[in-house]
Amino acid sequence: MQAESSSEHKDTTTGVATEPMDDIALRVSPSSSTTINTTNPTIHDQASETPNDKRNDTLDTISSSGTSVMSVLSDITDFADPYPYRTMSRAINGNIPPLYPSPGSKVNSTVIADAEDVKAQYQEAEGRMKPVPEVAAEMEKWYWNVDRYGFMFDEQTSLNAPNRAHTEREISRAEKWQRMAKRVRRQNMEVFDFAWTAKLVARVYKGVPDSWRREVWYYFVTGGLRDFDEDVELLAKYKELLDQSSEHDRQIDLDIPRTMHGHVLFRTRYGYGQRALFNVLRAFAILDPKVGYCQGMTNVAAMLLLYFEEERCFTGLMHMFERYRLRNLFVPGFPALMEAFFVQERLMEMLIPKVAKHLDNLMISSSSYATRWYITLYTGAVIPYHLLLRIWDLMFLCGFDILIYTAIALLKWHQEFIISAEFETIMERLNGLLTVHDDDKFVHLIRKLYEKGQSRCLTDRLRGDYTKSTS
Amino acid sequence: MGGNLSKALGKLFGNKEMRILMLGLDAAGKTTILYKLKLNQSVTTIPTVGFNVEAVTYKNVKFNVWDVGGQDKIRPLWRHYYTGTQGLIFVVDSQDRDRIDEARQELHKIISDREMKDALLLVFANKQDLPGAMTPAEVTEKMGLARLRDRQWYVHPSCATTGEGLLEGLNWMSQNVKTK
Repeated sequence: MQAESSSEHKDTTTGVATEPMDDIALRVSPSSSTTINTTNPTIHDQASETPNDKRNDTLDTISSSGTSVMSVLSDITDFADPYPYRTMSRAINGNIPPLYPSPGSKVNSTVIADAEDVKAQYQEAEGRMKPVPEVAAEMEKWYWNVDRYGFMFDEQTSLNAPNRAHTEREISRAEKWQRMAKRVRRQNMEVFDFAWTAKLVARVYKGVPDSWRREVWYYFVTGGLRDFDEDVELLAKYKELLDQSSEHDRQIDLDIPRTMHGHVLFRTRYGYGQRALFNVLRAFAILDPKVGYCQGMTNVAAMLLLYFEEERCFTGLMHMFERYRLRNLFVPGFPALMEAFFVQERLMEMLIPKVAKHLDNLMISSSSYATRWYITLYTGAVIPYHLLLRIWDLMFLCGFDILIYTAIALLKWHQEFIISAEFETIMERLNGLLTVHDDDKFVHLIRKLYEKGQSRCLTDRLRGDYTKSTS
Repeated sequence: MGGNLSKALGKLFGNKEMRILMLGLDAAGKTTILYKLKLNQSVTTIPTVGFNVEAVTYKNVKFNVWDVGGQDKIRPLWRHYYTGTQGLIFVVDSQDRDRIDEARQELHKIISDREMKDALLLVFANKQDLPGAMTPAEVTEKMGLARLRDRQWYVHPSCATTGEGLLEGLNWMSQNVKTK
């Protein structure tokens, strides 16, 4: 059949769904509001307008001849799941088995001889991943079951589902950013440059369009591309580091399968996402032995990997640590974390005194709920993902301080609840996922608090107080 | 405001706007296609890390074309460009038989995504000038297009360096796009 069709029709092929498989089509795609299901008249009209008159024949050959229907059918049957809901619920429970169990699988076992073995698992997987046709159908099911950000469906998904107005706003914003961006060549690499103006700042507060986040985040994390020139050296270093082993390999390996498991990029054991995460974290650990590896870092690197490719994730992480002084957040003793607690509590007294007083009465200190907020830079299931992206936009723009104001804003947003609740309920709420029904309003609140604080140099003064109190 | 006015005028005079996402494996010819369409020149390209975006106007339709890098490490980032995509151009290197299966898998991942459920699919069987290039029918078969449900798709042969076939592809897109 193949030879026949290619000899007859060299030019153009077009296609729509054909009737014989409608029942299967229904099973394959859960979408019921489909429009182009029956033979589509527009296609035929259009076909007759184009110079190639043979197209209708091609259509016959490709989709209606006996042989091809049969082969399509067999294609479809291994693609279709007769129990789509079962697939769905498996996805919800997060119980989809790993697609690539290693031979003599040690996936769930913690007994791994030594660090070299751990590295070998990832490296070996890299060679094993390429030709896996039978996995494609399974992958497609996954991709049908993810939300717009790539997370598998679960009860949170409705929160991540944008409406039509949201989509249109996103498109028009992407065009605005397109007009604002300038393509430049640096160090033989192409990057987008922006003018750091009030307009740019205002647009970051409105939310960077998803299609621009890679460029915009990198622009900010390199200080408006000033640090970009370091990348050549960093990338060369990275290549070298990939071959070395780190004493943290085993700990990193333990955390990787538990990191952003709900995201399609990280679901596959030893898949691309997990390999990249492993490479980046161990390279970092070797390069900065004093920080080494600390648990919150997996989430931070994973979040970067959702927007940056592996190499840029590494350089981005290096720039982040430098620019936002994250080293002190992760080195033993966590000095930046302690400082953040101190600053946050003083700010609470000034900006949300009722909450501060109530929590103080119940002896709930910031360290009992905000550790996870800071040490994961809010990526540790603190707030819904769509809001997290907005907070990260602000973090890249304003630096670490904005995370302290985010904490204040979260407490202020939940103020009514907090001041009327008791110890257990408060702890449960603050240690769980905090929802906010209006992202724009919430970001506006952070900005208001942040600008108020900045105008009075509050954070700097409080930092000074903290240094005095500890010395 | 100005944008809204020109949009309204555009509607009045039948101007359409279309958001196009162009994907495909690395070195399939995406960037060459983009700049051939934009500048009518065959430019020497370097591998795209990140993306290029250009507006191309053809027959009263403004195509906003996003050309995103195709190296395997960039592919997980493709999803950020899905939102609002009305047409997907998937570019296939017709001479690269070794990786046609990889191309098929990538294509099916993209169009399985809910964000892409309404997008038209145009496949360019590119590099037709090279010896041993697969025919469009062969590309159709190897890309598993016949099993697609509820999707308007179209395969067209092209040669990005000379520009052959490109405008015909855009033409199909513009005639089949759903007007809002």
